Amino acid sequence: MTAPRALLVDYGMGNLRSLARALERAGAEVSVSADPADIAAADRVVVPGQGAFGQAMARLESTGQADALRAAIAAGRPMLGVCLGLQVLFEASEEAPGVPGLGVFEGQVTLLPVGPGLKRPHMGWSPVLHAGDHPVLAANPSGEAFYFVHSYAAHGAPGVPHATAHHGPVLGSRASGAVPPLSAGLRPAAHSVCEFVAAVARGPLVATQYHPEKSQEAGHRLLTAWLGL
Amino acid sequence: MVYRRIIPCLDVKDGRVVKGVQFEGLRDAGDPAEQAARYDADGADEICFLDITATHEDRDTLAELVARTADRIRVPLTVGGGVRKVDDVRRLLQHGADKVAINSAAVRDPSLVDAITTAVGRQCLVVAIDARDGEVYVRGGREPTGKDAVAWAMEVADRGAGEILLTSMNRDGTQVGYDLEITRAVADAVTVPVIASGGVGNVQHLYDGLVTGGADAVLAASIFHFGAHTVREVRQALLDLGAFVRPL
Repeated sequence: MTAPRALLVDYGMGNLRSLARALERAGAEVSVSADPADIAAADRVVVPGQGAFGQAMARLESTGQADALRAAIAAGRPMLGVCLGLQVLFEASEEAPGVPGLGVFEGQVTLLPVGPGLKRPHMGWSPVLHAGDHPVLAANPSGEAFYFVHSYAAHGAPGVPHATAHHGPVLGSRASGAVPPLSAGLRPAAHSVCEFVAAVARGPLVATQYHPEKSQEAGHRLLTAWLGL
Repeated sequence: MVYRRIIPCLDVKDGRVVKGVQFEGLRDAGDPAEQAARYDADGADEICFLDITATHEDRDTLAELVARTADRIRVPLTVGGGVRKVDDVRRLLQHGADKVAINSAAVRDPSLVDAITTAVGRQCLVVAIDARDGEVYVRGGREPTGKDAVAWAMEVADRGAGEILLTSMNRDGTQVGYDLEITRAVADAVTVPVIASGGVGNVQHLYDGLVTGGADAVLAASIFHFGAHTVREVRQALLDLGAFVRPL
């Protein structure tokens, strides 16, 4: 069996190295390109990204990469967006008013709130709760923790299988005893200030706000499942 | 809701792991990439390298080490030590670091925080603050600056630091626990995450840093070295105490 081939889109937004290594560990043959023609020809496309929404969209549009991505999505080719690569799939972001996103998913990207005990960037491992069924989401149980680092987050994706995480105060300690597993009744939503889209999945198009390449086994399972689509 | 993080730190000198007591009497604990991979497999939430010599000559050694390590681990890697300019940050990020920590250089020129944040994004910048009795120190704790640690933390957060690494200098390597008062004061004063560091000798110290100190993450070196405690054991012990860390 030949290895699945994945093209990492280099649009100058952040480090591709970790994601490339993680995809390779999951069995992919990885190439990196900024050329829209390569995107158009790729079996699978990965859109990484770290940084500002406005700058990201400007680069995607000016290089022709955005059109190539739209065509790949329309053709039903597997695509994976990570972090900013998820946010650009939505309609718009508060970070860059007036700049349209790719608009593949209905919804907006907004700045996460801060407050007492509520830190931004949202940085660290948070449980991810499934909302709808999808084979890539199902590679991990609902409640599995993934690594996040972001200040803006998407809201919406109605009618599309997705997963959510909650931005809320960091919990101190419980009055007594150990922290129970999520299944035993610790409910992230109980401490939530805002719920946001942690992952979204429609057919072969999957995007995660969290970083599978920084999420140990859970991330590896997700990448492996996406490569198996 | 985000779990509080456990971050094993490797003090690196000339490409090798060391850990000193108050930066004296360094001991060699091996290859940093090897150690980092072990911590990752053991469930560390992130890993940190602090290059405690970071002379100009060992820049290449450090970059090569970062690349070798980043290729092996599946959690974020923070790298600090001797970072003086935006290009130093870029270089470490290009070699696979996820975050870069700056310390003395920010004290010398606070606008460096703004410059780095603008260039690479705030989530990539950790400002390390070495505090002794509430005052900021630089040069590995040798030189007082007259700056108030809480005020400095607020300033760098305002300038765009994505995270603050707060080290209690009078306690670093002494294993008597974090300075909980300054940790709590900084954690309450800023809206960015705060990592507590310095002086960890046992699991109770980590618990106190997270709960009494209010830190978002705890960084420790000695406690994990020489197989004294594995990260997994420490995590379980913290869970048993009731600290809100990621269950594995």
